[in-house]
Amino acid sequence: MSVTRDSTLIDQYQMQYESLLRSPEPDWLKQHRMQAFNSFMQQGLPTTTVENWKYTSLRMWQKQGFYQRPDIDTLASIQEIQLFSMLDEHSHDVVVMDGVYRKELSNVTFLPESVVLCDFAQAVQTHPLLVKQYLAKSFDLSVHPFAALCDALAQKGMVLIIPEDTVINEPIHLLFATSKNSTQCAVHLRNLIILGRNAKAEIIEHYADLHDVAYFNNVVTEVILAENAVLTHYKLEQEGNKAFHIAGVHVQQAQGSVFNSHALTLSGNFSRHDMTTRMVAPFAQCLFNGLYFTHNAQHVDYHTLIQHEAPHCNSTSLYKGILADRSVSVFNGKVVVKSGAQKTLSQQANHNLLLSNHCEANSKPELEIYTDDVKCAHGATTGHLDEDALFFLQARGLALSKARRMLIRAFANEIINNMSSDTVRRYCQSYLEMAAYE
Amino acid sequence: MLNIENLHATVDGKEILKGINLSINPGQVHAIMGPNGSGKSTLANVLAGKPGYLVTQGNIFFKGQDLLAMSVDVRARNGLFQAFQYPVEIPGVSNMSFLKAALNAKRRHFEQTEMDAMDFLSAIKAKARQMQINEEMLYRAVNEGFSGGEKKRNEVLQMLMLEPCFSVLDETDSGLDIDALQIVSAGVNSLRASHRSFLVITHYQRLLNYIVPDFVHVLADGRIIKSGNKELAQELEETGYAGVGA
Repeated sequence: MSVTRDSTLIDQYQMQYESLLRSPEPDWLKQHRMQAFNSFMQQGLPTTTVENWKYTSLRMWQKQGFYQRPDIDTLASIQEIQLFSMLDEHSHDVVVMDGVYRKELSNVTFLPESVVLCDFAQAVQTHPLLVKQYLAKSFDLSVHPFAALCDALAQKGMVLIIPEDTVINEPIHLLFATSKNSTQCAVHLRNLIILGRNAKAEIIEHYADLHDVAYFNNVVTEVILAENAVLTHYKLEQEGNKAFHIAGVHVQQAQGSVFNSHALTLSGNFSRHDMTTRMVAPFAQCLFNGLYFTHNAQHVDYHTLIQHEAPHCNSTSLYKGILADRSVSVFNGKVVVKSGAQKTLSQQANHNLLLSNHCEANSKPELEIYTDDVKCAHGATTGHLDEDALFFLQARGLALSKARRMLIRAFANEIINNMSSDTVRRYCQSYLEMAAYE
Repeated sequence: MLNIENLHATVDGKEILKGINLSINPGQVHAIMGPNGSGKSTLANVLAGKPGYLVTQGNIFFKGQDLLAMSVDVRARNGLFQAFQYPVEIPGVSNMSFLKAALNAKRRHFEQTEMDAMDFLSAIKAKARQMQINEEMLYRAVNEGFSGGEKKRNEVLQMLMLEPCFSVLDETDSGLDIDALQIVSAGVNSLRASHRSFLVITHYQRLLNYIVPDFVHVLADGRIIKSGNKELAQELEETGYAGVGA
C-alpha cells in the first residue's frame, strides 16, 4: 500500500493517542486503541494510488491539517439548533454539540427506561462488557485508515443499546451539530448501536453545521443487529460548505435481521463514506438507499460493501447522484457473495444526473460471487436531463428553470420516497426544496 | 389569430420549409395534408419553438405579436398548444402535478389567481372522464407505460385543461383505432369556439370526417401547393397527392 507521511499531522495524532494511553481509561480500551493506532500507522494516509481511494484525493484535507480538539463551552443554544430539529411530538431529539452530548438540549423522555443512551465515555464505564464485546468486531480496521484513527482517538460519540423485544416506533434523532468552537478542529466520534433480538428502531444520524466554519468530522458508527432486529438508519449529511466529513457505517446482521439504510448528502465540502454490512446468518436483508446532490467544488465519495456470508439473504442497493457546477462524486458499490451463501438475492444500481459540463461522476458497481444458485444484478447510468422532456414541459408553459427543477425533483424523489419515516421524508423534501434545487 | 409569411426553415442545415404563407382566423379549423417529408411536422415544431428548427426567413404573427421572438414557454402560456405526434414519457413526474403546474403557470401569466387543489381536482376528473382516461392514470407518471392511444388521449386531456386559443394537432390520429379516434375528435370538437383556432396535420382524410375543417392545404416540398375547402381532402383520398401535382 502506498503511504504518505504527513509528519506534523501524524505526530499530533500520535501525541494525542499517547496521552490517552496515560489516561485513566480501562486497559482493554487502551489495548484496543493501541491496535487501532498501529493499524492506522501501517495503513498511513491513503493516496490515489490505493484502489479504494483512486478518485478521492486527501490533498485538500491534508492542507487543512485538522488535529486540534474543540474547546468546550456551552454557548450554543436551543435557538441555534432549532433549524435542524425534527422534533414533532413523537420524536426523540438527541443533541451532540462539537462532540459533546448536551442533555439539557435533548429530549429523550419518551424512550423506554430499558434503553441505554449515553456518550461513549460513559458507556465504557457503565457497560464495559458490551462495548468491549462489540467494538470494531463488525468490520476490519486494517482496511479503513480513518476508522482506525477514530478508534485510536475517539472519546466521544453516542452509544445506544436497545434491549431485546423492545420496539420504538418514533424515530430517534441524533443531531451532531458543529459550532464555531470547532473551527479548524478534528472531532472523532465513535457511535455504537446495538439492537437485541426482535428489537426495532429508527435512528437518524444527522450532521449539521451551525456557523459555516472549516472542521473535520471523523466518524465511525457501528451497528450490531441481533436475530430478527430491524433498524432503519438515516444518515443525513447537512454539513457546511467548508466541512470535511469522513465516516464509516459498519453493520453486522444476525439471522432474520433487517437493516435499511438511507443516506443523504446535500451539502458539505468533502465527504467520504464507507458503508458496510455483513450478513453473517441466513434470512437477513438490507437496503442501501442513497442520494447525493453536489454543488460548487464539492467532493462526495460513497463506498458501499454488502457481504453475503450466509444463504437466503437479500440485498438491494440504489444510489443516485445529482451533480452541479464542478462537483465530483464517487460511487463504488461492491457486493460480495461468499461461498456457501446460496439463494442470495442482490440488486445494485447507481444512476447519476449531470447538470453541468464540468462535473464528474465516477461510478463503479462491483459484484463478486463465490458460490452458485444466486440471483444478482447490477448496473449504472450517467446522463443529462432529458432534452425532449424539458421541451415538452416548456411547450406546456413551464419556464425552463421550473421544468429543470421538476425533472431533478422527479429523479431525487425515487430515493426520498423509499424513506419510511414521514418525519424524515418531509424534512428531506423541504431541505431539498430550500437548498438544492435552486 | 396566426399569420405565417414566407416562412423558410432549416433542420441540420437542410431547408425543409421553403416559403409558407398561411393565415388562420379565429374560429377556423385548417387542415394540412401532404406526403411524407413534405414538412408538415417541421411546421408544427417551428410553431412550438422546438430547438434545432431554424427559421431563416419570414415571419409568424400570433395574435398580432411576433411569435418567433417568444420563448417556448411564453408561446404556450400565450395560448399556443401542440399535441405531439410522439408524446414523451417523463418518469417520476405525475400527470396530475405536471398539469397543475402548467395550468397555474398560464393563470399567473394572465394575472389570474392559481386554481386551488379542489377545483383543479374536480376539473381534471371531469375532463378525464370525457377522454375516457382512467382516474388512476392521472396519478401515474406522464405517459409512462401508456399505450399509443392512451398517450394521444392524454395529449387532448392536456389541451382541454389548458384551453389554448390555438392548437396544432400533429398527426394526432396516427396509431389510433376507430374508437379512440372518435374520443379524440370529440374532445377536440368540444373546444371549438369562435375565439379558438386549430391546425390539424394529418395523412388521412379519415380524421377530417370527425374534425371537419374549414380549409384544407396540401403541403409538398416545403410549400403549400394547393388550398381548398373540405372537399379537397376527399379529392386527395381518391387521386392521391400525385393528383394535385405533389
